[in-house]
Parts: sequence; C-alpha cells; structure tokens
Amino acid sequence: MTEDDNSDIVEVTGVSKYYGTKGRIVTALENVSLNVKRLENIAIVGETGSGKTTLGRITCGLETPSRGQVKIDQIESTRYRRTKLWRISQYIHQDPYGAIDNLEDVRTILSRPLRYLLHIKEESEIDEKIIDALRLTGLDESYINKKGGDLSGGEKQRILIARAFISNPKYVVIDEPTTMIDFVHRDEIIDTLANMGRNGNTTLMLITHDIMIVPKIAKKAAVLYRGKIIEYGSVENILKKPLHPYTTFLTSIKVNNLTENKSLLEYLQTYGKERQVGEPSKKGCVYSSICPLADAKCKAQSPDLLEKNQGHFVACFKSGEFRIV
Amino acid sequence: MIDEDILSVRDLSIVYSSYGEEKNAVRNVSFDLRRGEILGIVGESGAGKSTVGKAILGLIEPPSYARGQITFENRNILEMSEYRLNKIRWNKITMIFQASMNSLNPVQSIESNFISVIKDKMKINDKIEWERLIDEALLSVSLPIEVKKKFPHQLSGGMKQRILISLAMITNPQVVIADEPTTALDVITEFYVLSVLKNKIRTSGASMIFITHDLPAIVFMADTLAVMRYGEIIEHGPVSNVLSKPQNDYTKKLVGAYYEVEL
Repeated sequence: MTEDDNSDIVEVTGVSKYYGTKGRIVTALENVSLNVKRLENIAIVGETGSGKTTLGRITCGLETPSRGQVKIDQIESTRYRRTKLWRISQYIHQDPYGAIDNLEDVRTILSRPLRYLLHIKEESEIDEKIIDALRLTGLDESYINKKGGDLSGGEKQRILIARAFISNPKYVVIDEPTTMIDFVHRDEIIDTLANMGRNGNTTLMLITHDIMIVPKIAKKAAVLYRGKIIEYGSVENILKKPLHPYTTFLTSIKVNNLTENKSLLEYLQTYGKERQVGEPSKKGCVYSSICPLADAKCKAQSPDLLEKNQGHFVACFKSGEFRIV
Repeated sequence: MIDEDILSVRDLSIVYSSYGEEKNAVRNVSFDLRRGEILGIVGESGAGKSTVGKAILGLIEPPSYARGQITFENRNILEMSEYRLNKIRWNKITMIFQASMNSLNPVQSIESNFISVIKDKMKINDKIEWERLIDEALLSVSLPIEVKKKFPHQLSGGMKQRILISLAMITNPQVVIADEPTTALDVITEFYVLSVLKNKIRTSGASMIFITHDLPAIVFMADTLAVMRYGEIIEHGPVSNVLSKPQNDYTKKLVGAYYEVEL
C-alpha cells in the first residue's frame, strides 16, 4: 500500500452552495463538511430538496461550491483539467431516459470514455473492453449493436453504470439509481452496483431517498436535512440506533409501523402539511419548526455536528430523546 | 364494506396492434370490485396493469381491441358508445395518472384547471358554487386555499399529486383508478400522499383500483391484492392472505423481497 491509499478520496470542508432564482437566493447546502475514505462506500440520505444531489455533484467536480473547499484525490476540484477529473470521478445521472441518446448505439456510447479518457485507439481493444463492461453489468455482448431507443429503463441504467465504470475511476457518485425502475429490477441494479463497487479500487457515493437500499451498498451514511448534515455514522447505527429525531422518523416509516401506530401516522400527516409552508427559519436548528421536541434553545441556536458515540455524529441538542412509541 | 359488486370484469383480453403486429397485453383477466373496496394491482413494468385501467375507462382505441366484459351499472363498458362513455368518465369512473408533472395544464392556474372540469363534466355554471367546490376540494387534501391562484410549475411534486387527487375526485366518482400515483416521490411524501388519498377514498365511499409496482404502498392502501404477470392475474385475494401464504412462485419471490426490505 502506498501512502496515497490512506488519504481520503474526497474531502469537503465548510461547503455552502447557493442558487439564485428570480432575485431570490435558495440555500442548497449550508456549511457542510464530510470526508469520504478510500473504498468506504458512503450513502447520502435525504428527502426531496434536502441538497443531496447538489452535494453529490459538488463532490465529483460537476459543480463548484459557493463557499468552502472540495478536494478530490487530494487536489482541489477547481484546479483539475476536465479530462483529468473525469478519469478520477464519474457521476451516474438519476434519469436514465434523459442521459442516453436514443439514436446512438451502445458501442458509440461506451467507446467515448475509452477514446477520450484512456486514449485507446485500437478498435479491437475498445470492443473487448466494452464487452467486458457489459458482462459485468449483467448484459450480454449482443447489446453492443443496440440503439439507445431499443433499451428498457433497466437496461439503460445498466449502460450508464457500465459507462461510468469502464474507465476504472477512483470515485463514482450514483444519484438515485432506482427511482425510475420497478421493484423486480431494483434489486438486480442494486446487486450490480454492489458488485461493481466490490471489485477494483472504486469508492461509491450513493445518493438516495430510499433508505432500504443503503445497507447493500454503503458502510457509512450521512443524513441531509435542508442543506445540513444532521447525522453521520455507520449505516448500522443510523438505521438501528438513530439519534436525531428526523432520522428516527425517517427510518420508522414502514407499512407495518404506519398501520399499527396511529401517532406515527398523525405525525406524518402534520409533517407533510407543514413542510409545504415556505423556507426554514434562518435562526436555530433547521428541523426546529416541525420537531416535536423543539424548545426555545432549539429555535435560537443551531446545533453543531458533534460526536455522540464513537464514530456516530449528530447535530441535535436532544439527540436520542425522540422515540416513536 | 357492503357486499355489492360495483364493477365486474370477466375474461378481459386486450390486444395491442401496431404496424400489423399484435401483442397480447392482457389475457383472460377476471375480477370483481366491491363498493368501498380498494383493490391493489401489482406487477412489473409491462405486466398489463395500466392497460386494465385504461380498458375500464374505455380508452383502448382501434386498431387495438379488447374482448370480454367490463360490467358497470349493468352495461358492458367495452360496447358503449363514445357519447355514453364520456358521460361516465370523470363523473362515475375517474383516473389519477402517474405523471403528476405533466397531467396539469401548465399555462392555466390551478383554479382554471378545476373550473374546466367543473364546467365540462359537472355542468355547473354558478361562480359562487365553483369557488365553494374548489375550496372544499383543496381542503380535503390538506392544501391551503391560496394554491388555487398558482400555476403547476410553482408547486412541488407532492402538492401536484394531491391536486390531481382532488381534481379526479371532485365529481364524487364511484370508481377511482390510480395508476402509479406516487412514483418519483420520496418516502415521506409518498406515504403522506397515500394517507391523504386513503382518507379521501374512505370518506367518500368510493371504490379504488390502485395500480403500482410498489408493494409497501399496496400493503398500506389496499384491502385485496391482485398480482399480474405477462398479462394474467396469477394470484388474487385479501392482502394479508397473499402476503402470508403466497401460492405462486413469482408472488413468493415478490413477497420475499418485500419482507427482506421491511426487516
């Protein structure tokens, strides 16, 4: 092992990201710090609008932060040349229907990273690598001549996975791999991804709102809420011993709990109703407007992300107090 | 639940034909829908779930065709004239579509979207009555009344989906067909929208056919469950029965995946 292997593949330090729309400034991320260790797959969990896609795009260099610093493989993301950066990090888009040209054939789609990133010129070598990549994602070699339009959603998703992994990158961000796919193929895609992550030297970041697919891929997880990391730790701790009230709520939304537990259903309904009401308060905890435990302190001060148990971080003054009975 | 069939489907087969090629999308499907029942239809993409929903609304157009019987109010929907179908659609049988993002007219305010339904389908021309109906409809899905002045792009996915629910049910229909109403929503929003929908169905006493590939959603919503594969219903019964004692191998695999996820 070289010294290189012990460093973090991605270091995010104090990153904020703002989007301006119609004279209004929307905060997508607020002072987020996160380190991703080499070969330790991480999941970013959060609801719509929590900033998880923005965080994923920033960590692979597709977007630059408004404030703060992102290092990818020890070099700041803005200092890379594009082609150099894409050899290290790759991003799998959440919408396979939009990410693949219906008129292009699979050979053209998959040969591009080989030609332009790895500079391979031999046609036979390119074909060989493409067939290998297809096999790894569970497709056979006949797919090489198919057009994008002939593929189903699940097959498109596999081609996207193959395209990201074909140049053997060090870091891959997978944005919502299963939203467009039905449940039968969902497990297959997840297994494929887990396999791809296992062989080779690639670190994965999985971005999802579906907390149930997390354990199959990731070891660590961070929960985002309105642009802030509110909990970070091992997947097991987050799923089984959540500390933040929001994580407790999120992990308990399962059918059995909802049908048996009236108070959880009631909280879900108030939460759903409240969430549509505007921006979070600038002062205090981001979750305080809707948190059942919130008191004056929560509304006045914003809690920092602190280590509560070993390796389990939470940003909450009342961590561990919230229970769904 | 009253033991009375509101809709009964017998030996329904649907053939899609395009460019001379024929494809059996649905084969010999039979089921009954009781008053107040929520029937969940689950199956993977291409299993024919949506096609059954379309046939019930009489939306299968030539050269594609449907055989069999769909009995509603003692008439076969498949043999009805377009004029009669239009009287039933939305007033008695209504559909909530899957693409919430595209189902509302983008250049009309939410209010105008509602008014066109009230005018065309309910034949009400009284402005005060319009206002009352719209406010009532929005409140019944827990939306603030102010959203009626907004346009679809200004609303979130969950809000649009709830507007579609209230829009579909404003006529007090007897049968609601919901085709994947919550795909592409996150899990909190999904179950929130589902709880609103279930509440609305139960209070209005309507029956529902709930089509989805999301088994947890069906378990939350439905009374009975039908599993479809390759155009056929391979298993049908009360939800708890199908889950605890699946007969078919495919259903076993499906239920197995579901419990794996739950635990």
